[in-house]
Amino acid sequence: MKYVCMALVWLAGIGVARWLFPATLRWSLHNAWLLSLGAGVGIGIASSIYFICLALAGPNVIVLASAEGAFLLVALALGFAAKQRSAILEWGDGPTPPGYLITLLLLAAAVALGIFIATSVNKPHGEWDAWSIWNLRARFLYRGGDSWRDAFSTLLPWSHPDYPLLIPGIVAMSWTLSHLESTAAPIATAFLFTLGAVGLLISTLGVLRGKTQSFVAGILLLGTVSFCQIGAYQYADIPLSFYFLASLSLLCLQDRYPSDLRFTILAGLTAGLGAWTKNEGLLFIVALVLARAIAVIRYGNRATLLPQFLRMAAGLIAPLAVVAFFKVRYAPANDLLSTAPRDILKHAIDIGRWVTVIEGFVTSFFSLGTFLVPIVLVLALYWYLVRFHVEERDRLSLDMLLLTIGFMLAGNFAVYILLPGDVEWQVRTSVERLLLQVWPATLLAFFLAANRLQLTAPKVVVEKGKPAKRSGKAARRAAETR
Amino acid sequence: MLDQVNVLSKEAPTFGVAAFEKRFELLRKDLPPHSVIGYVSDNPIADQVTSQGEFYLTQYTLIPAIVKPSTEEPLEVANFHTDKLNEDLLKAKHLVAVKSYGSYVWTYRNTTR
Repeated sequence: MKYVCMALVWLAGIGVARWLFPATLRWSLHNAWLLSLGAGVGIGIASSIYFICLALAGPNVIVLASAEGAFLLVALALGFAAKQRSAILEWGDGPTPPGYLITLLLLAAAVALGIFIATSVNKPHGEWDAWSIWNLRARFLYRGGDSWRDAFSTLLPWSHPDYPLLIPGIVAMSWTLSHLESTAAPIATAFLFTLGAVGLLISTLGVLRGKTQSFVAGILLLGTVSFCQIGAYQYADIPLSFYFLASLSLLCLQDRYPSDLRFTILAGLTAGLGAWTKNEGLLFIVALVLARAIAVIRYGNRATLLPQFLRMAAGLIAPLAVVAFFKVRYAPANDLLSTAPRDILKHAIDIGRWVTVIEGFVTSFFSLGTFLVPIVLVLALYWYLVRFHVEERDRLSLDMLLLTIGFMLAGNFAVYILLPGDVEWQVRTSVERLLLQVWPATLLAFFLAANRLQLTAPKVVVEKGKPAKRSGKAARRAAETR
Repeated sequence: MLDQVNVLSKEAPTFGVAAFEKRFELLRKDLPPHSVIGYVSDNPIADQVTSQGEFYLTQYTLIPAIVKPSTEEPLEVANFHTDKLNEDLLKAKHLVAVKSYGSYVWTYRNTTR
């Protein structure tokens, strides 16, 4: 029963995603994409339902089981009865990946899985933030009974009681329905988000740039040790990175399939679920909307801006309503936002804070992911070898990706500079996690821009009496590389 | 991967959630539901990370009770690491021992409350 709840939530998420983008039930890229997306969609919706039930009916298992059961049944019915009405996502053009690349991907997946399992066995309750924030709140919600509001008590200011409840909610829901307070629930949640983010990156890039490019990106994400570790630490940063990636990748697919606005609806939903995960999710919504508007105005069809924003709002509205309900009704004031304007000004002109934050960001760019060689240098070398080649149709997507990531980094930078607290400690303990939040989306942007890899020697056609020349396909590829 | 194996083989058994769950299990069962209790520890003030971490772990373990980082509540939970206590300090804080739960876990009563 420990894992059944989470499996059913995942299944419900797949049902919702399949309802919007149905496809034949068989092993395909489209279904791998649905499986990845379904993890976050299911967990987000189930967690929201848990909180609504708790707020409206108290800790009533029957009400909760009925509501979550109804969600599952409706999602499955819609998902499996849906008729195909949209494009099927298929592998994009590109060279066939050589055997060694596939072996490398499988090896990276095995090592990442090993790291996740070893960390989870060693720390089944997660690391510091897990037991001082996320699982702590889940325990209050589950053990608190009628006093579940103690989870947001002002007597626990150090536990950030204003943080949204996606992670605590899904964990407490699983414990409530299974009548068992097991570490399996947070571990399974962390696993689904970590795996989902990898699956989403590979499948989206598979559509946009082909198999080889997507496999290389997948190897890099799986090889990011701290991504797997922090996922297994049960922190909310990896779930948040999942929702950032999901929203951005859905909008990239929207640009590839402009007539099907369901991509944008789902992007709105995942962005809203990001705001239900962590406060940075609210900053992401602002960054995403702004970036999308700028990108569409610069490279897209301006007439599509309003219809797209209306669809995005349709997806956003439900999760944002849940966040607003929680913030207005239960959450105490946010410690960062309750800073006096005079103090903000004082921090803004404090050169020491600027130096500390810049140093923290630069150092983390080089240490990100605990790679043997700094990943920034690896990507720089990759760029030097293959260069960028942005196709006309990808300019809008790439512009949106870069602007959103840029706005997020700038926003987080400003938070460090302007708001209260020991900035040195804040930077030291959180800057790498903030970079990891946008890391999968950064890989998406990088590999969307990078030229296609030429991993095998082009075939040489030798004709009698003529100099050797490349075959048609190889010649085209060589020309493209130039 | 090798880092993980290294960590697994060196994990200190006295810190971490599992150790705290075991130490505080009897006290948790003994506490009235939804009580608010104080906290006292013999952790050195200079070692802020350990003292803060152990306070958070105590709170995590004793949920649904709320643990406050003060000795001004009628009942306090004591998270000690030795039986050689600083009696003068406890007296200065008006704390009188109530019950031992083993593993240097105690409850104290504040006589001024």
